[in-house]
Amino acid sequence: MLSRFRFKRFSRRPFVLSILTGLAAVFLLGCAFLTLQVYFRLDDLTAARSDNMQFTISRLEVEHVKLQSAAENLNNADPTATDTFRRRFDAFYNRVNTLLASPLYTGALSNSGMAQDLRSIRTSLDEMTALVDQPDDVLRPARDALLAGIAPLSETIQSISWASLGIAAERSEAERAALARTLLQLAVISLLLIAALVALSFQLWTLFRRYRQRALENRTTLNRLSTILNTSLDHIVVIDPDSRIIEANAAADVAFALSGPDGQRKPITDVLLRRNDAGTTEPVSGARLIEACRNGPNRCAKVLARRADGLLFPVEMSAALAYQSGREVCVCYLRDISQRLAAQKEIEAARDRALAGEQAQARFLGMISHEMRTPLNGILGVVDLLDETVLNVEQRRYLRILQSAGQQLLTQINDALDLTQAGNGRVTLDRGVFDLDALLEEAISGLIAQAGARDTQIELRIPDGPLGLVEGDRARVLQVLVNLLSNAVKFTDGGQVTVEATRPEPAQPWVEVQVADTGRGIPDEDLPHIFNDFVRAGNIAGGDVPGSGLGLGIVRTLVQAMGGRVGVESIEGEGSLFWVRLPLDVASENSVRAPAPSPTGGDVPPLRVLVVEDNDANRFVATQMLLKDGHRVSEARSGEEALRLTQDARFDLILMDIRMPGLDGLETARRIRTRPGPAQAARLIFLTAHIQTENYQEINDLNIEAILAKPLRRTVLRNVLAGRIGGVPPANSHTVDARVMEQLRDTLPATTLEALLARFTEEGDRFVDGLQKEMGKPSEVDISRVHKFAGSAATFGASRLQERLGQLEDALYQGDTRRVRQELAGLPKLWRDTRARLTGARDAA
Amino acid sequence: MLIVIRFCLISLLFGAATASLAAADCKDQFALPLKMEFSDHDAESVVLCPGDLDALPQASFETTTLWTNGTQRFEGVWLATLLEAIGVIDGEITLRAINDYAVTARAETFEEGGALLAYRRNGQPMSTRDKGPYWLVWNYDANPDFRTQQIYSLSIWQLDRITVSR
Repeated sequence: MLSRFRFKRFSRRPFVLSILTGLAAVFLLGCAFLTLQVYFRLDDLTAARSDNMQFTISRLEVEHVKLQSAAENLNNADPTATDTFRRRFDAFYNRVNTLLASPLYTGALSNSGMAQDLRSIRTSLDEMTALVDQPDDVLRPARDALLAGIAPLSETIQSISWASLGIAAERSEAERAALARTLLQLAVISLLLIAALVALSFQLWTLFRRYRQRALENRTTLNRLSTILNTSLDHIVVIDPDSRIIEANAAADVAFALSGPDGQRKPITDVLLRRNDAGTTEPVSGARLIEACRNGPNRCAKVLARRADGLLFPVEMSAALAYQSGREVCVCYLRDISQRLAAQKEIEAARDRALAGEQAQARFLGMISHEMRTPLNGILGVVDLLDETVLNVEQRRYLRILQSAGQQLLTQINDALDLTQAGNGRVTLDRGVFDLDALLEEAISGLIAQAGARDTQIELRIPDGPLGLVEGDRARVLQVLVNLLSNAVKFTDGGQVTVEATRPEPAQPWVEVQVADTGRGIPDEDLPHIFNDFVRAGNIAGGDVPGSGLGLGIVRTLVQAMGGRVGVESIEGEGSLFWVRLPLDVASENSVRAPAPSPTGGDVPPLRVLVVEDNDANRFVATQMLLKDGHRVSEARSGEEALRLTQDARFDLILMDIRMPGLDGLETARRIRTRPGPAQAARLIFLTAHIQTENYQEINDLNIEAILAKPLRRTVLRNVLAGRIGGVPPANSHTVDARVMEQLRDTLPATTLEALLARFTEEGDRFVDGLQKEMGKPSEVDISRVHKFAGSAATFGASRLQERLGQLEDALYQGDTRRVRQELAGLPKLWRDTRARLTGARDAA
Repeated sequence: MLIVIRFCLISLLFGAATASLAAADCKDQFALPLKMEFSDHDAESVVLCPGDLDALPQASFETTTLWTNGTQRFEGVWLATLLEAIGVIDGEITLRAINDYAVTARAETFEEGGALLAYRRNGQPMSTRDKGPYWLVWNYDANPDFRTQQIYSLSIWQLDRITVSR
């Protein structure tokens, strides 16, 4: 706007200027014309063509007087008197003739009586010539007659003289007037010219000042701009279509060493390169840059620039078109982004490392938890069995503690497994229809005992009446509720826990459940992290509260997986309120109601089961467990017996020990599967004391349902029978399982792995050394050390070692001294192999 | 050529001078003589007649004058030619008319192609009554430089004496 305004103001100036210039030119022409006129007039005056009339007339008078005097002298004796008279006569005659003939005087003469007078004089003179031309002797006597003719002429001459005076005066007056008029005109024109010139000068002065002001402003702006450009860390170059660098700021000049030794700047094609689609680089020309900017300013990060030392570095380029001296040029800003790219790459790498670490950690956690769960189930199974034996009061009390602690440990391991599974995005929702009111009751009833122990009441409130049947994943919802409740109970002593469930908008799928307690509450600073994994509220004050710190993390993960929301409000010292909003649709009329799994195993219909086990105690336990759950059980002491029994009888399920004297479990199973008969399609479950070391490849071929670790636990058995647990671990019979090592490398920092390995090799060396001493007395071998070493071997994937140790453990357990010796004999060599392979696997990293 | 003419002229001049001692008139009774005088040394005056001037290189032109009506043809010799012929190359020249009108100018004023000592007008000798016998004229029409007051005042008619002062 401003510039347009300025343009208008300035554009009027040239118009005024041209008018003034035109005027000045006209006046100047007028001046020149008048000056010329004056010059010519003055020239006329110098030429004085007519001015000598006065003189000529006066000469006429003089010559008349001289003629009269010469005539009077004719009577003298002087012999030259006649000659003189004749000369005077001729002179006078000539004067009169000249006056009459000269064009100078004709104008003046014709306007007066002078011409007449002159002609009368000449007539008189012509009359006298006859006498004058006579010889002297005739001339002398004619003196009187001549005088009589000459003397009267003086009167005529006098009148001519007067007339000429008048004419001269008139003429000079006219001349003066004309000259004065011309001079006046000249003066006026000159004044006008001067005025025009003054106005012109004023205009020019104004313009000059204005333009000088603008020039100064421009220079200031230019200086400022050039300072800005030269202090800029970006490299700025101006490029013409012929790839020449017309201008460059200091940064560009230095960075690219633009100025050569001859003062010429190198072309842009030597500096700027572009990475094309093929991955190679090509120089960027000025014409191409300008073409690229044709549709507006161009930004490009795929550009490389050559530094002064020849190295290429990545730049971000911002280019735009400009005009210089009427041609298109390209202004380019080049910014060194090598550091930025490096930082970006580093961040990405760090992020990848973090993600990989997190995943590896989760995998590790999952793996370890799984490995821990198996032996723990064994422990709990034995405890269960022990519980059914005759014990004294003290033993039973110990057993209870063992049971409780074991259960707690199992819960935590299960939590960790759940969490890692959920965290890996592996939560698969099992949708069904269930009774939400019953579910709430069930969740609470499970915790009433625990709450009672803390002198805490649990109250269920459903203010809007029963919520009825809903659609959703029953087990997950239950887990969420139990976790929240258990959390509330854990942190409340002698208080109140209130569960309130509502459907805020009847038509909507949302159900909101609030679990409020009057417990110790959560400090404000812990609130944002309360749903993070392994975070426990009141870490300082709550050291006495057991738990993994995973409960709320699982809640969050599950709620998110279900598409719900979870939140918490709390005042420290007064209590907390956890709320969840879960998408649980009201079940439609024709939805099939999913049966709630009974914790007692009553959900499995009675089965016909064959238990094949050579060990009487184990066979007895398994049979008792199955019978108690209402199944019909047949027993076989060996593979052969089992084959015999399955020949005619039909069984739903066969529970079979793998290792038996005679026909082992695998062979027996193979025969049952291959031989036509009523048991051919029976469900097959293996039992083993060496769950880590069995040949799973072989087992898998038999289409079995599950493989269970001995000793058998009731709950595990129930779950397997209900089809909730199954599957066979993958085969692993390498000296060292490379995959395990790989997992460890992914999961652990190198130094930690190194330290662990060192500890393991030290442990192994010590163990093998110790064994050498104990060779003589196998009964004294410490079973716990064997077990511990086996665990370590499992951790590092030393499968053979683990297997051998397992068998050793087994033999020790059974007190089979011969087998113990046998197993011990091979250990030192196996250990050496394993150690060598472990080192190799580690170094393969 | 010039030397020959000059030689002839000098001898002729001397001859004329001796003749003028006997009679100061020209043979032609209408032809009046031109008297050349030298003021600063003892050289004798020389009287020239139109016939004498005829021996010198002739010149002529046509022009109008302020004092005559219509174009006139003047014939005669350049005054510069005459002055050179009698050996005058500098000094002051005084020209005098029969009515005693006189003008004075430096010899170099009368350059060749400028001042013509005319003694024939329109093919006729000029009578004393009509600006003769000698009239110093310039070709006024041919050159504006000749139309000045100074030249007009030098344009002397009825010329009968020339005085050279060195």
